[in-house]
Amino acid sequence: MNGPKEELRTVVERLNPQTRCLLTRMKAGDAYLPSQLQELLGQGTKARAVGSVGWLIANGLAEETGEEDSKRYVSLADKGQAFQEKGIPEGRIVKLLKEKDKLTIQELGEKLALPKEELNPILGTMKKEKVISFESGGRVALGEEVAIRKATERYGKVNNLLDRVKSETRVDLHDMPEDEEEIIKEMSRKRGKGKAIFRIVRAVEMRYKLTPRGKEAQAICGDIREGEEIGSLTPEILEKGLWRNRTFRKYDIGTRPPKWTYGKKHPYGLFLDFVRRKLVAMGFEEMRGRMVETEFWNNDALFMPQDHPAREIHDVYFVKEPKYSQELPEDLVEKVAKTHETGWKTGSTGWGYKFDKERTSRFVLRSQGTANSVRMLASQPKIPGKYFAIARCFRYDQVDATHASDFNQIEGIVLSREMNFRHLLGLLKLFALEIAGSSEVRFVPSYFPFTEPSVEIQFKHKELGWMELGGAGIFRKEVTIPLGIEVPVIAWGLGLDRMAMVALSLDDIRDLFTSDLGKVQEMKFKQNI
Amino acid sequence: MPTIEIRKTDFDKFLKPIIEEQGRGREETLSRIKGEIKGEDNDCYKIEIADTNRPDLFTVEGIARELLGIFKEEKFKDDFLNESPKYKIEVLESVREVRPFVGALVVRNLTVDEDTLHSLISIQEKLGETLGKRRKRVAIGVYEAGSIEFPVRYGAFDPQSYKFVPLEFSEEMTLDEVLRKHPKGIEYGHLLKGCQGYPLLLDANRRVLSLPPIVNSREMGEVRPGANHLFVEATGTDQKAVILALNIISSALSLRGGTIERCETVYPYATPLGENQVTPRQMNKALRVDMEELKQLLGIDISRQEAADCLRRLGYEIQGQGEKFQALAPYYRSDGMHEHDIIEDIAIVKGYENFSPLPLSDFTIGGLSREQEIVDKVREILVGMGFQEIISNALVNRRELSQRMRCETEAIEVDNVMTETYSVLRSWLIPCLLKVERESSQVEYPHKVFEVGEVVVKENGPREEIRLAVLISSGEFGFTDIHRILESLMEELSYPYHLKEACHSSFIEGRFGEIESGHKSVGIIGEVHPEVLSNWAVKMPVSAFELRIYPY
Repeated sequence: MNGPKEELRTVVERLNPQTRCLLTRMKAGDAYLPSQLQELLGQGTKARAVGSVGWLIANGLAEETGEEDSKRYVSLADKGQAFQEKGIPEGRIVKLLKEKDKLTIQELGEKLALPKEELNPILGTMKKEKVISFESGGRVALGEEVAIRKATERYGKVNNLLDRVKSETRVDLHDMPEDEEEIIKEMSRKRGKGKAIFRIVRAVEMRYKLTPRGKEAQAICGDIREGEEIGSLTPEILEKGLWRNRTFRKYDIGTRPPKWTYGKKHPYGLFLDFVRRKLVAMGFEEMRGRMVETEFWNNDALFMPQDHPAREIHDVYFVKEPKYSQELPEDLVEKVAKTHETGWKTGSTGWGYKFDKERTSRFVLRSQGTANSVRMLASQPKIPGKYFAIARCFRYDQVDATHASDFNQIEGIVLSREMNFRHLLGLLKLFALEIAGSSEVRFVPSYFPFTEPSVEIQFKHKELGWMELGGAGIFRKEVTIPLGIEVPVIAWGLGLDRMAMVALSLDDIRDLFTSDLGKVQEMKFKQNI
Repeated sequence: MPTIEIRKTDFDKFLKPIIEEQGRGREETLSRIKGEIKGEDNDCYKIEIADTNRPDLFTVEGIARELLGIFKEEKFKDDFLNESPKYKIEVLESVREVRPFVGALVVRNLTVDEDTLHSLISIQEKLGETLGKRRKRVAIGVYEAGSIEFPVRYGAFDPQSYKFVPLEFSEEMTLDEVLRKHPKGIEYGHLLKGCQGYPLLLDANRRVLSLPPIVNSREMGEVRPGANHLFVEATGTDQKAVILALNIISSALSLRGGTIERCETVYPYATPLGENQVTPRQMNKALRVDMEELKQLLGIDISRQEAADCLRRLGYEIQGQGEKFQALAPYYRSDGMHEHDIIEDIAIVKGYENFSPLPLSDFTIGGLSREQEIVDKVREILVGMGFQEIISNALVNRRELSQRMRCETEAIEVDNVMTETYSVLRSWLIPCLLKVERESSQVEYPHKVFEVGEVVVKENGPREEIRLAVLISSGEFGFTDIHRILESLMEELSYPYHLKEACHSSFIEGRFGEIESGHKSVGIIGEVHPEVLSNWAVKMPVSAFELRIYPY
């Protein structure tokens, strides 16, 4: 590229054939309306002609003249749309009265399906024009013959216009005979606001002309032999070798195209995948559970007393039918019951109440992922072993921007012969580093009915300050011994919904499960939260 | 978790000095009692206590006592526990079946100011709600002791037998009327439902003190600022909880400067703790702590001396010498059940920040579940075909599974429904995807979406499956297109199948089939019926299939 001449040549070469055609056919000095441009091209729609001249303008080859041309168009207003099918009410009233002789206003309203406030002014006008008359008993009858004939003729014209405007959607008001123009003007303002039949729209059209640079470009067009350049490369061109000794039209590659449609995984799913991958890398094996759980696995096996506040009807969803499970392991229930009552062989005093065995088989919607962990403890886990689960859990909570009816809990266990409180802290610190990407953590005492000691871990987010990452503890002996586990077991849970929201840039937890496809498509998972 | 309200003036008096002296800030200091400030208004802080088993921390005095012990080794006087009772409550046989247990104490030399009154009411309400299970198990009443003639009597009486003016009212009411008319009667009256007689506390002159667990008499049981001689009673259905409530209150009021005097309760019947009970009293039994277990659980080397010292700061009494000793928890606590509970207390006093984390040293092999591997494979294939993954709520509206789908669907319903929107577990996934269609008409068509997730089928009992649902929607797609997708997916999964003609009222007849593998039905496929689309206000044709992918 050197010199303005070459630059202009490149511009011309990049124009698509239609735009180039328009360039050659526009006369310097003339100003064209869009419709005239369309004529110049001799094909395609007005919109395409405007599109082509848009390219010329963008390249400085044409310009808007500033001479406007305003036109008035007719289209259907809301009422016009409504009346178009059956005709305007006036005409139908005359027709009905011809059939039925006399009708009350109410009967007319029902037959026309028009509310009183619309019907009354219409009847008022018709009476003034003597098309109808009111009789005793609120009945309506036909009026004077001459008036009726004149009016009916006009109604017919209005109905015809309705059909015509409907099918053409926009009709140039200047193209209409005078009497029709008159009717339209009247019908577009009468009947009060919102009740007009037609709408007159004033539209402004621009005129376009070539710039001096455009004139220069015209000359270059002459050098380019039409038909010699290759536009789209086709199989035929390839097969016959037609591309040899020809040039390719140059494309403007800077233009932004519409997006290619594509599919993707749910960004929240990607977040969960990320956590899963991290846990697997740390040596955790995934376990599964079930959304409909028994109170036994959800609470009792976790040594939560049966009158624990978190087990009440205001905290947990109970299943309506069936209410009770028939599949609980009896010997295990017996051991857990004894542990609740007296501590059994666990070294504990127990809660000291009478354990309700019916209650333990009650179905609930899983309220904590720890249910999966105790199920795993009861099914011969590996020692040493590490397990995790991502579990859909349910809480009886008013749903709002920070509370969801169902949510995912990420939790798990570690079994080891040699393990203590400091290993628990070490594990949590590793989670903070690997999952939250933070090496600044702090531990505070916490409480869970099934662990002792219990701890909560918080990490420092670079923008949001201290955030809770999760809670953990060493399972109570009252939990592990009845399940046949003699070694210490770490139980941990990560509260990741808040982190997920940060990673997905959401501020409403309900959006994690949104049904709005647009939102899902826009959502992005940023791994470096 | 219980949240308590503490007056700012009280907070400044009792807690601020400790916090300032520690220099660790409010948050960190309060974390020692598992507490967290959750909010505040003009007068009060709202503090959440994580440990539901520590009602002794549900008071500003209790929190102060704990922190002073941990940080300043302060000891608190509980000599009153050894004193002889000065007052008596006589229990009548009639209350045995209604609300069998009662206990009381008297406080002297405590001038009731605004803060004390607020704290007193707050203790009474919070203990009644939590430890007292909304007053069923325990309810507490406070009176000016000066006007009461001892011994106090506790019995059950005919609902019409006595009349008194309840708090906040000015006219006399029968017991029946109190239950029907008084706000507390309306709130707690159900606790006395079906009882022949209602419990009453009467003084020696047969004047009504209160109708437990509902409301006090205005004349005998209204405490005003300026009072300095209080009578506190607790009644209930659980003797230990009744006594614990009194223990907690005596500890709190004693810390505030009151002198506690004990009361004896004389029962005409045997109780779990014997016939006559003097309250407040120590009920705990010492738990054995083994230094070996302690060192092993915490992973530190700690001397017996240090361990015992930590526990004494929390009010424990240490008995016995040597590496195995007995620890008796203070009378206001009842949460110790196991040696580990006591070991945690030691760790808290030492401070978690003083434990250096250790890496886990065991080698284990991680891995995804079989289920997740299949789910991931299916997701890969669908995304490759240009589909968008959807993740929906598992709790849905019952209508969405049935009426809207123009069919009857059995599903696991919630018994205690909060809102219809989340009232039933999804039993199939296509409705979840139709919901997406309903809310996404503004998104350019065609729509190609899928969801993989758990559903719960109701058959005898609940049965969980993992399903895949795929939905396409546009003016051009139809049965052939959705069938092509299924065909490619099954090919990729090496999952042999064939379609069997069938009927389903959610789909257009003749354009629906059951997906069979072997001789088992594993899914459905078809063009969704226009009426279903209209029910969902979906204006674009929809074809879909749903396939069980686990178990398979």
